[in-house]
Amino acid sequence: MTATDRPSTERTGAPDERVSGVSTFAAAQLDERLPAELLQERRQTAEATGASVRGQIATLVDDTSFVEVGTFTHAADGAADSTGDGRVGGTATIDGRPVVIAADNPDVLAGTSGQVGNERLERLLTLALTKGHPFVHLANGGAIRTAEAGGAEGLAELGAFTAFTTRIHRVPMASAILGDTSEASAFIAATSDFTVQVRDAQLSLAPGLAEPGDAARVGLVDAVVDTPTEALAAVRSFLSFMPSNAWSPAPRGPERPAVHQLDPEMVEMVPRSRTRAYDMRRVLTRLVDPAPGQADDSPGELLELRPTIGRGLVTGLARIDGWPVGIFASNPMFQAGAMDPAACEKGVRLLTLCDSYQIPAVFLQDVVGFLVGRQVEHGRMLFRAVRFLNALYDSSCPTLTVLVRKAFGLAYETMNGRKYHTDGLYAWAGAEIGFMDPEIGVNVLYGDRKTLEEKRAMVAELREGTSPFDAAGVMNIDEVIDPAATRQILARDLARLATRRVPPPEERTLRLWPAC
Amino acid sequence: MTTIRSEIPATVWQVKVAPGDKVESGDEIIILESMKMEIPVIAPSSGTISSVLVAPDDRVQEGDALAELDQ
Repeated sequence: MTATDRPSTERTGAPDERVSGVSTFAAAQLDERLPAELLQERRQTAEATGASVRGQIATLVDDTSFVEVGTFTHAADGAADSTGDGRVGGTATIDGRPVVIAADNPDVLAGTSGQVGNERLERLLTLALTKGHPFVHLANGGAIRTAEAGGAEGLAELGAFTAFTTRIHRVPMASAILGDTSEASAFIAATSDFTVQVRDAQLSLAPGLAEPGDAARVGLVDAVVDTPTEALAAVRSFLSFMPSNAWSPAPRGPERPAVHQLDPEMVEMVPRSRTRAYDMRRVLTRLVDPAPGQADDSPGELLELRPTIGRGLVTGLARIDGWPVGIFASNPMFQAGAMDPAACEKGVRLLTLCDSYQIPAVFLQDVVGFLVGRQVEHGRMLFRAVRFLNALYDSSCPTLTVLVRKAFGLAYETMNGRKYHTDGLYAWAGAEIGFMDPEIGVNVLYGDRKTLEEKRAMVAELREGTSPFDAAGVMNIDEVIDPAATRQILARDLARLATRRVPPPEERTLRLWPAC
Repeated sequence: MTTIRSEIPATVWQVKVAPGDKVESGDEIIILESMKMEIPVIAPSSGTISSVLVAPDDRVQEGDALAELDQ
């Protein structure tokens, strides 16, 4: 039937119900189509912060910004209690910027992954990828609904979540593990740029095969928190450092005029004795900006990633004078700052993020080398170390390096010590640079064949040759700096680098590297 | 009461407090040794040391209790 032969209301005198329905398209009529419990829940979530998935979404996003996409979905078999087919999703804003959100709904079909729910997921992912909105997934289920996935046909139709593996870092993606999560939703977590897990939730490929805490212990998640509300706050924090997509610059936070003044206490953060450990995170909280909204003299905000593994290297996101940066900092508190395979994996993961979204990478070195021993060799130390170096040299994001204390061996190069790659290479005046830490070198060469006194003399002599002024004298580093000026110098360089030619996404090699 | 634990496997090098000592947040209470590095163990808050559970040359594992602090 064409428009011209449609009966007009004037001619028949009886309005077409569906046409007149459009003119009075009222919430009340729509609501008749919605199950009573969903309606009730939606009314509650107008101001809700409850444990329901809509309450969690309301907590995550800007007030009343959530708009559902796929409200009328139900399970493929049309069952009465299957609203949303185990998922909730739509668009919203976080800090005023558009995002796409998908969530498992544990109250419907136990949040399992079914055919229509997957259609919805793919619809939402496509919106995010093609329009450049960050994608947030709230995981609380995800196991594949066996009854629907049975047989060759069913399996073929349940593959929507594999689309996540081809997102090639076009938009930032965050997963919050709010309850026990496996299979489809675990896939999404594994392909995310940032994952945060509630402490008592499990994350595993196969359902029920992990204990709470396992995922953090083996490095499957970036952060562990006590409550869903903290997890949602961590997602907001992560996104605050990220651009909306690979084509946009990361937003600058509030400027911090204080970074342009010398910080004479900075030098006190690092012990004078070369054998005394310290927690690099204390240095970082002096170096980086406080959270937006906090006073200039508040402690700096570092979103540390995977803090429980590879502890000789601290990785995280922070800001310096408002500029978002990736932080790669040795931590002498653990294994004298030596890097193990897990530390290298952490480094690669953050470099992938930095390169994909063009966030400058800032390295702080106090590193004696890679960890030595049979255990780490069996953990594929060789491959992990070389992959880190490979990722660094393939990356196109700006990089800056500060040698704080020790800078030795291949680890010195892996932590961005090579002048041909870094955009600024600075050493504190007390730093030591060389192939091998003199104490380790003398022990390797002479072991018990020299007395302690003889070895001390040799160490002192060798240390003469590790001066940063020697390195600066032959242009192996750019400048020897006053520790008090570290922030000032980094902020100045970041401002300069913000005007660089930004390579288009297709020139960023690491965007093609897997997220896990 | 707070139990202060070792974050790493290490050898106890120096114990700088005794039961009854008052400490401020950030004070060094024990120094561990691992990989030829001295690793300070810091009081997480101010209070009084109620017990010291290790002595110099003891081996400790990650998570082992080192001392107890009454706030």
